[in-house]
Amino acid sequence: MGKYIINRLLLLIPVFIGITLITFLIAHSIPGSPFTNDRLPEKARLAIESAYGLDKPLYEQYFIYIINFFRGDWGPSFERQGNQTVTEILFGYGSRSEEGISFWLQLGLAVAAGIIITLGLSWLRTRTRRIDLLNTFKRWFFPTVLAVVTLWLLFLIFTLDTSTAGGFLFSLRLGIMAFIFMLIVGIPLGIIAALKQNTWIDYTVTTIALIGFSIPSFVLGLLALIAVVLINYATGSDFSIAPSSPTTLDLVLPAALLGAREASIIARLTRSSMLEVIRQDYMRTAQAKGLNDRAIAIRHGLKNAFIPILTVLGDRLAGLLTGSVTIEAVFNIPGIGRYFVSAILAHDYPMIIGTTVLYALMVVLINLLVDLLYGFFDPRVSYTSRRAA
Amino acid sequence: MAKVSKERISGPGSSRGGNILPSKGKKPAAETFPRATNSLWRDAWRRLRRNKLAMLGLLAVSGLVLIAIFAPWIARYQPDQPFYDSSSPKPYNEQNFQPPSAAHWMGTTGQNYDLWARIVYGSRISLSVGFVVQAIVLFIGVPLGLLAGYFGGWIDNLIMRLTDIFRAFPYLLLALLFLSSFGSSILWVYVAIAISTWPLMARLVRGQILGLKNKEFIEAAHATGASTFRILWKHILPNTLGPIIVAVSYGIPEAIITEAFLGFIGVSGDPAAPSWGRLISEGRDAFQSNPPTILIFPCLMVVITVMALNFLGDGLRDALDPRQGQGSGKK
Repeated sequence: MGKYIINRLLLLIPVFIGITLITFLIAHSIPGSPFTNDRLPEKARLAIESAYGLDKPLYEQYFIYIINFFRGDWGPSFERQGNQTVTEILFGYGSRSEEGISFWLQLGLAVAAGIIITLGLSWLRTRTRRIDLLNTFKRWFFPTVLAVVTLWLLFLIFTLDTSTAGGFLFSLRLGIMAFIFMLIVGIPLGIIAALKQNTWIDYTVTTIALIGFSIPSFVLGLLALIAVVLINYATGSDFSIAPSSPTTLDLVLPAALLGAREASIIARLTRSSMLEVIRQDYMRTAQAKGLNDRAIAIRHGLKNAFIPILTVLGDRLAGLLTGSVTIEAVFNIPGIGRYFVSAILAHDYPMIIGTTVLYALMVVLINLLVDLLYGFFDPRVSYTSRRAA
Repeated sequence: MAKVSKERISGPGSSRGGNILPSKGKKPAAETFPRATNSLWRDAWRRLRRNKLAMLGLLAVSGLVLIAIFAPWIARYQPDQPFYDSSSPKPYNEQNFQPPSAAHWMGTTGQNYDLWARIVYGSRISLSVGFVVQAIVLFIGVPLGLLAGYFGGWIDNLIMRLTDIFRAFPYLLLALLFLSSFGSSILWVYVAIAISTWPLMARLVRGQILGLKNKEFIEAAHATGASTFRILWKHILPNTLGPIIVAVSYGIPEAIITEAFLGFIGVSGDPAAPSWGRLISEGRDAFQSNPPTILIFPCLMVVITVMALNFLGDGLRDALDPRQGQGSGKK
């Protein structure tokens, strides 16, 4: 497993180089200069460009960029005349050096808490059954620590002060809330539909899921906007769906709209996966043993049906975190998606590359996590022989 | 004769019947399967025809394609030229939004345009994006997937790392980036969307081939001295067609959605061309103080198109992969 993780991390290097290189080249081939302006004399423009190092050959600019990237300097934002750096726009102003315990210490505490919880859990499990404590610990260690760290990160994300925060925070909140919406709506509906196959419940769920699957999130957002306007018109109220500086509460509706399509995708997937599992022999065995239906459905059914769902969950989470571009555009939420679009229109190279790399890193890391979680949910997966698959 | 025997070898081994040739009617007597006279494709078509939703989707898609083809006869107005009649006494260059009427079925929009005409012509853009993008995806993804899956080794490694890179790109962003740097002509829209979706196809094909290439019928083909190209083309590819068709049928609506969003942001296609995304964007800018139909109709068109294609896609999935499609209401 350790070897597998190292292997995967090493594979990140070509991916990182590929992404930065492609983005860099495409961004720099955008016709026109970021500083083209009628009132700006030619000479001044050249001076500004040389001040930002834009007159150097491309490969040199690329190397300088990569080196600075790892030093945490993602460059100034051209669109804002260099008054703000890319990291400031994305992550906000120096909120890391806050009073109280530092980020890394908190992370360490979370990991420690995870280990302790794992120990407790494995001890409880081994007390009732004859299993090896060490093996149980090894199996539960990674998912439990991950769960605790995730919970802590969630807490952090939803309690941070938005006034100094950058666009990333809004996108994260939106994406995570949409993801949670997707999970709590999609999976139960899929299970119910599968268990009650060919009843009116099943038909209703599949029909709704099929319709939801066919409505793009930005169209859904627009339809909601129309509804709000019509309601406002009819009742004379003044409810606004798109405030300029949204609180978490304001994001609930956009997040639900963003997650609706994904929820129907997951519901469909859960249902078909569940249906496949229900037909397996071990389900009949469980029934023959006289277990009650719920235990069969959850412990034997869902546990096995969850494996194909897990594959998709990583992609969906990444898709939601990055796909928030659409909903951000509709509701004017100041997330990174909106900055990205305006950066493209303004030839703001550092901003474009920074955003893309940030998104790409999220996608890659989430995929890595999902692959590692596989081993937990499907013990048949062995990481040593996976290279061939 | 050698040819016949080879086909017989590939037949039973490949449950997805590697035979699309209709000449299969004359079966060797040795075949004992009761359903042997039906090829997979005929079976699939029969299953598809029984699926009411899929047929509804097929009908709607055909209707949309006809609308797109015969747009000049259906549109009644020019999509890119303001009309002038008794209902538009306003001077040129003034916004004119009317609710639907007998003269203008979907109302009017923008600077005296007929919305119906714009939507009809917009269907050309959306549908062409759907089909062309998937054609490009097939053209790139299938050969690369074949190569990676069949030859393995460093070729596989190289291609898979390439797909890793493209998969890490949030795909809307790549398309956006692409369009902003190479201009927003419709050709680049095709390329931009295809570039960001081909890795999925390559991975799908590769996965299929990994499962196939060690099967007995491939070994048998080797033994009869078939060339590598022949094995790939005649024995492996036909067996992967089912999943590929399903992937394409889901890819088309996905591409249409992407195009609509790119149009909505304003980076896709010619600004004057009435793509549905642009109509939606125009509608959003104006619907607050005007009839909301200018926003509702383009949205509805996108939804209807995507839904019809998804109905069809579901039907195809159930028809081509009966094992997976148990879910569609039938036993």
